[in-house]
Amino acid sequence: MTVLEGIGITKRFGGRVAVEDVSVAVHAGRVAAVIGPNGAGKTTLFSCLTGATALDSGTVLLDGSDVTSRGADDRARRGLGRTFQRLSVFGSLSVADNLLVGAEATRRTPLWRGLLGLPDRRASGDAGRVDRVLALLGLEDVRDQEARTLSTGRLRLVELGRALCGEPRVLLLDEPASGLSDAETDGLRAVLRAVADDGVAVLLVEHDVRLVLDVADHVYALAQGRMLSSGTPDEVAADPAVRSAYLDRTRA
Amino acid sequence: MLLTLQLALAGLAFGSVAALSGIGLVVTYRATGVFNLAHGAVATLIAYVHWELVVRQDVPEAVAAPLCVLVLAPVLGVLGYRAVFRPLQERDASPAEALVTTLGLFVLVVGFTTVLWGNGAKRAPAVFPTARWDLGELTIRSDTVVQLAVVGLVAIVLAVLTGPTRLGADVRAVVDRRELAQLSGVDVDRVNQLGWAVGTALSAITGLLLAPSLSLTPYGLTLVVLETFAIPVLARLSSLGVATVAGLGLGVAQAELTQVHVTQEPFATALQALQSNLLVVALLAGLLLLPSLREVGDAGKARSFSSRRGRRTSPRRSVVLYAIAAVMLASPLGYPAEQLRQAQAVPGLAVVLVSIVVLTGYGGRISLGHAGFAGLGALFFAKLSSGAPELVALVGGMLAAGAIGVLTGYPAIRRRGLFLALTTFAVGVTVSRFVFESPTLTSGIDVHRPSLFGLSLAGDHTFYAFELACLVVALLVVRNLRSGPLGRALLAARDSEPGARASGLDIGRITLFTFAVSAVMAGLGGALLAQTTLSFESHAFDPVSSSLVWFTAVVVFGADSAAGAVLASGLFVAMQLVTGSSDAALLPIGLLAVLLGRFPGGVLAGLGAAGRPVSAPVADRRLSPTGRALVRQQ
Ligand SMILES: Nc1ncnc2c1ncn2[C@@H]1O[C@H](COP(=O)(O)OP(=O)(O)O)[C@@H](O)[C@H]1O
Ligand SMILES: [Mg+2]
Repeated sequence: MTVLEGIGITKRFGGRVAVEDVSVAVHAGRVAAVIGPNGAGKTTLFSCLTGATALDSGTVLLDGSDVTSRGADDRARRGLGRTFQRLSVFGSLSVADNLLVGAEATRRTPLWRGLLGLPDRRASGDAGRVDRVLALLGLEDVRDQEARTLSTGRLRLVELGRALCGEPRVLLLDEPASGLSDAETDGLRAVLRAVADDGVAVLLVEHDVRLVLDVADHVYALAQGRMLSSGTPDEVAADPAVRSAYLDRTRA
Repeated sequence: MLLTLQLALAGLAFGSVAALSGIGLVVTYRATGVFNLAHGAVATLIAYVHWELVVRQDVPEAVAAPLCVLVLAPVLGVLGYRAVFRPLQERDASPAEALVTTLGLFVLVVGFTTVLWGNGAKRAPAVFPTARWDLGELTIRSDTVVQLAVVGLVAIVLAVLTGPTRLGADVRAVVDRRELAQLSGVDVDRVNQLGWAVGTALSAITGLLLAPSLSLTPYGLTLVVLETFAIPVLARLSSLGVATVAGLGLGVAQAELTQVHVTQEPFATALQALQSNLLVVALLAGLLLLPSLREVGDAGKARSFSSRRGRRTSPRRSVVLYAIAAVMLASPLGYPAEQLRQAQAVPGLAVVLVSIVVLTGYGGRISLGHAGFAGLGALFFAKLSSGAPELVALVGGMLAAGAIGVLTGYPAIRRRGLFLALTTFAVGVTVSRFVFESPTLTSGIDVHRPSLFGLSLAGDHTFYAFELACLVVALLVVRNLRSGPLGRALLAARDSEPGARASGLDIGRITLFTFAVSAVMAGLGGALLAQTTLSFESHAFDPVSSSLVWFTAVVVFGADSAAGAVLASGLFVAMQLVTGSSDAALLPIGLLAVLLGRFPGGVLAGLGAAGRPVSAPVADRRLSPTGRALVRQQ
């Protein structure tokens, strides 16, 4: 089942085209990946899909309904979780509180009830969910540590955990393995598979070609904002256009 | 036609001064990346020095004016840069910190001026000879001509300075890309010093030329200069040409407006207000209509001086702190009425200052217009209480303040740093000019103290107890703002907006909520202050002597510390009692704010670290490289 679909997405900065007429689809239980050299427009495509930037033309469908004009927070509450290439954890909160925000914010935060000091009755499942995600990502030892004191690799996991706590139906990850150690990357690979097996749709931007070929069911190759190739990992890896634009260069 | 010409000439006289002030602000901003909120205070200080030299010491004008403008002002500017702003720059402080430091400088300079020369109005001597030439029926004043010549001269000098010289190339390099300029060996320090020297010299000219047409008072002249913020805003902080044209144009437009006559109310009153406040309207309109200012560097968030962490201080320590505060606040209840009355301003002011903590410390937003909210609360309470029970009127006043708070919150959803600071300041000045100083709205107002279910609170002891109860409610609200899902959401939105939005937090809704809560609380505090004095006085809610000073005090005592805000309120009142002057607290607060670069978390945070100043580089060293990058990025 298609959970997230971008159709004909185009985004310009000033006169410069960052993404042009790109279409992608992410299905429940599947992992799709976007590859492409630096500046290909991968992060921009993510921003358009998540609502962080307004797009110039195109349509974004989430669970079949048009969310093109809706904000990032609205899409998040409808089940779109994401991580950032440029980290955006809540530095002054503890790791557990970062995850708790992820769990709480997908419901509308009860501002006025909170002001009056009334308890949030819907919060019962949050603590248990946070504990499970901490265990899944191996973050239990830093659970009460202030997030800003952690290494880049662990912060990427905190962001992933925050997104997972929102019980997303689709998860967009922008270079989740950059800054991770080999052991951490292996852990990430297992987590991604487990998340997809749970029925979540996953879209991933990644430089680590091995990771992509390993976990992705479908690969999109971007270059200079355009879709160069799309198909199974083997098909895309064999595409001569892709080889010349990307794969050869990273292997050289 | 003749009248139009004559008015245009009069307008050019003021317009040229406004243009000089605006050019000074833009020059300093472009060269140093600092928007100098102390511009008006410096202008006033130099005007006083000039008055002292010419009137008291009999120094000839031909010596005094050049001494003030060409020697004293640039020296002060360079000293200020070296003592205060260079250390900030060296430790890579955020634009928000630099902004607060200029506020500290403002408070310090105004305090200094008041201590030296008092609050009484002085008659400042004219700088240029005021001969009149009759050209047919048109009268031309010589000082207008000289002032226009000065504007032209300044424009030419600046054009040469930034022109095809080595220095000019350096200046342009710094203006375009600060970090790059540093790397490529440009003498950034020299450009900075020059920026401050030229900026303060221009503020000195502004002060000397404006003072004779007003009566010289510390706050009065300062506010007039602050109104010229409209000019750098219209020039989008970048173009000197636009600044010159905007200054002259606004001067002429303001003069020509006096030709327009309307008799029908309420337009007549509105027109009258507009005639004397065109710059304020231009400032507000410019800020609301411009999509963005061309800010140097990234938009500074209040985050850098709001040190609140996710984990709370140990419960034991806060219990002890609050116990001490409670004893101190409650002890006046044991005094006789006469002494108690002197303490009555403390809880009301504390509620206002705590409301600033809510917005700045918890919401991460700068607000330089809080006296506007407080004054609206006071005014609406007073108006409504003539026809309704006082408690209903009190709620009405709070809601009125809250409504303006929400309106201010809308532009704040997308604005940060300097842009937001100027917008809130403009709202404060506008409310003050068009509401608090409007005779039709504020004359003949009676202020009563409330009664509670038939129990009168008019007695000094019962009223003080009522004030304390209000303060306790405000502090309970603050406690709720920092706990549970709401507390986490506020911190998350402050720490990383993209992250908060991606988690599902509605930043707009949270911003409006924070502004509403803060403004309602400020309205309550303002109403309490009015009930304390049993009167509504516009100067108690002044956009300069109240808003700017209050905000600075809150930041000095720790922007996220409600206890600090209560302490600050106690300090204001205690200093006034001890010295008999309401401006006595300015000097210590200004000094501490200027030193904020060395105590990033505020005074209390500094004391908390066993009296050792916590400088940010030290604090930074405890962080991982990523942690540092994160802190910087926020
Ligand atoms: N906010 C922005 N403003 C201007 N140009 C941008 C912005 N974000 C990205 N770009 C440009 O768009 C192009 C695509 O960038 P990006 O999406 O970050 O690429 P990738 O993530 O594939 O490395 C680049 O040329 C980049 O310079
Ligand atoms: Mg990218």
